[in-house]
Amino acid sequence: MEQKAAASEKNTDWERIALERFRKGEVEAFGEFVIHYQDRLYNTIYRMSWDESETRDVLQDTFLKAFRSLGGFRGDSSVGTWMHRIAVNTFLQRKKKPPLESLENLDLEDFHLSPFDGMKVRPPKPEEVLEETEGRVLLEEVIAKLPEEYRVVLVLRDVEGLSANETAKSLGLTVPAVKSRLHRARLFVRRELERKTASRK
Amino acid sequence: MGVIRHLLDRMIPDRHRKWWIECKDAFPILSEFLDKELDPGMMAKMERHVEDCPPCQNLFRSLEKTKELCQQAPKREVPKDFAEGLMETIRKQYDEAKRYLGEPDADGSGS
Repeated sequence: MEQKAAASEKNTDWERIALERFRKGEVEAFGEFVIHYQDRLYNTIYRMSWDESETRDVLQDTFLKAFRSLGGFRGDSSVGTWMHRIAVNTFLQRKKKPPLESLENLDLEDFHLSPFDGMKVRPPKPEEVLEETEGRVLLEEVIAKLPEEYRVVLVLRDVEGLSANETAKSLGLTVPAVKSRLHRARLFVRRELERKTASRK
Repeated sequence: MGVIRHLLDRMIPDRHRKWWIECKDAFPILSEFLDKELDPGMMAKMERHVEDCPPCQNLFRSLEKTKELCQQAPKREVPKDFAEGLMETIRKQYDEAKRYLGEPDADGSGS
């Protein structure tokens, strides 16, 4: 599968022009970045925070930070990738965040038995649910239930389509840690979808 | 020659073969297999295992489906007034910084 949303590492023409205008002191040029990236970043943050007002605050902080440092932006990546990283970091550093230690850990052992047991009865079919619009609501509910450290990884990798490497860079984790959390997150989502579908029947 | 080798080959139990992998070892790396992130040797082993082992195949399919679902997660719209409100704040902050620092630097960062 193509990595769809992974922003390109190069600036497009309009970005180079806007960046130049901005560096010459034209504040309004920054607005072009806001218009272009607000939707993507809003969705990134919303899926991690699951709270509209918090998402708005984090997005505002993200752009304010970007505004203050865009002048010194070195261009190692595209402005889009750079802003995406600022958004993720701003979200992770926000004050309301519960301490990491308090988060429930997903143990691989918890999942080990369930899929195999379940399959003796009937094959798991989250796809049954997902035909309906109801399924999308279910998916959102399940992602929201994931402990944050797993949710963030699942959102960046499976929802946004970032590579393991890019995700590791954004979150300050190692690649193996990203892979291991992603696997647990997917197992969690699949199990919860299955449970919810079963309970609605 | 070919026949003898074939007959000998059939006497080796599967678990002694190079491509053999146990379910308990396959389970933790199913996602890496799905994302094609394992080394080629391990990819081949997993391909074979997932093909031959119905429970692992079911779990694999279901993880694959889960990943696809996530990729289609619905999008939300940013509030309509967001960009304008933000630019207002930025203009204000910029003007204040200018007043405080005098004219902005050539690079526009105001620092």
